[in-house]
Amino acid sequence: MKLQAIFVGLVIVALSLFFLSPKVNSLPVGANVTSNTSSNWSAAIPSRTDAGGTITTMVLDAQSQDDGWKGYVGNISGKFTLDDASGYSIYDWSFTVTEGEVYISRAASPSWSTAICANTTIISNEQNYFGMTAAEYDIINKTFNETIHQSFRVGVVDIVNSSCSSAFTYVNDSKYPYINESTPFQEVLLQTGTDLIYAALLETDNEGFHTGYTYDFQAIVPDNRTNGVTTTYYFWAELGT
Amino acid sequence: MLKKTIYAKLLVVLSFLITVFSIANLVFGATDPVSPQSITQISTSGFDTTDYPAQNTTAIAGNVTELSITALAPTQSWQGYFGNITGTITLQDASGNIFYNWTVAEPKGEIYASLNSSINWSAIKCFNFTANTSLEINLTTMESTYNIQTADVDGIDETFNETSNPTIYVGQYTVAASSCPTTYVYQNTGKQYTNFINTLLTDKEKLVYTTVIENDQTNNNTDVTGYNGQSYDFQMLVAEDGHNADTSTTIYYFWVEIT
Repeated sequence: MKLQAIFVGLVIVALSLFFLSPKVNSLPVGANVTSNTSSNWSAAIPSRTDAGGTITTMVLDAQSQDDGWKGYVGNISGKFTLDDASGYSIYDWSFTVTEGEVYISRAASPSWSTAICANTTIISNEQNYFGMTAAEYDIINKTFNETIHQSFRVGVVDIVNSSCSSAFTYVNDSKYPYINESTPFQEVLLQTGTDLIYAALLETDNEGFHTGYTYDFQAIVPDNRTNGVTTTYYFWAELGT
Repeated sequence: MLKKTIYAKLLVVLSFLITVFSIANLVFGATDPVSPQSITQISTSGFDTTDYPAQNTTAIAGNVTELSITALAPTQSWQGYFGNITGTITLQDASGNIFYNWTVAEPKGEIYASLNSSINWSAIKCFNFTANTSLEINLTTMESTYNIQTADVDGIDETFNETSNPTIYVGQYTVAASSCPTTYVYQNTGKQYTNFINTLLTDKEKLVYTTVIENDQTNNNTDVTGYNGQSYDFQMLVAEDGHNADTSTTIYYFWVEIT
């Protein structure tokens, strides 16, 4: 019977399958933030004991924790997946993330296909939102005061290298010795419509701001200086290999 | 007279050879996998970013927060096919005149897919990742076709990284068990190593994606649960170039062999 079937089989088939399906472009995906820990800086209080009758000349070097910015650091794991629209996976590939971006924004639903470099109007609007004034040293356009970064892709949109406002968060407790397109922990300002997007380009376990600790990303975002007022930021990730 | 005898003998030999070749053609030609009579697309969908809404966290000025992020991205190298199959084993002549039909509700056998519409089934064998390209296609050849980089985690060899295929009967040709690049497409429980076996074959010039139709055990007509909890007869992966925002589609040709 089997041989008969093999030798003279002409099959009448109805296949229920996916056929010539439209492509899915890899837009940024809502990132699953599974844990976080926060820390704040508190300065040690210096003191002196000087004998009476002396005059001491002092040079004071003061630091003050910036209450206009918030820092995020961490690691990212990911996988490529072959999913249907309901989120069921027919196959996936786990991997160590070596390329990609973490996007952070106050906007919950950016229109990724419209992503471009943030212009001065958008940046200015964001500064106004947080009550930043031009005279301050730590406003957004004075922080993101470079235009140096790698090229990268936001969904289907190519962002040309060194075309957008950028900043470089610190490595080993200090500013990186040199700034070029290979310097780690690049952060780039984008906009989608009227929404400002902070794009932190991913590293692979690079030493971060905290000496001896490695991270895949570091990002800073502005926050309201008013004590007790918080800002909600949304996170997305776009992965490469 | 002698000349006539020689001609008569030659005629007999020639007749014999014609008969042999005719039978061979009749028998062997019919054993190759057959194109399905119809393919019906029931539905199609892909990765939906709205399934993964933006996650948020609350910023407090002056703090540095450590995060652990897990993220997904859709593969840019693969297309999945799944579905059901019904068939008929038929006895018919070369003109398509049916002598007898046997309807098969739960066929057993294989489904084949290829970029090419013509496969030399007589040369079918395991796809060899490291084959000499002067003799046949290899991994480099095919990953280049799909714009897959060697280091890509979802490349062909990273996906078909098992060699636990069952014996596959392609017409009259046998592909030995545990010899070909193989993978197992997911069931609703995720990765598994039992059902929905996918294997890579080649005729030396074209890559042939092969999946074993489920219910391949004797007297087993119970469908196997697929990736989404529904039961299917087959689930299949084929490579496709979606890199660099490529939105063009690729045509795949299908064959079915019911046993």
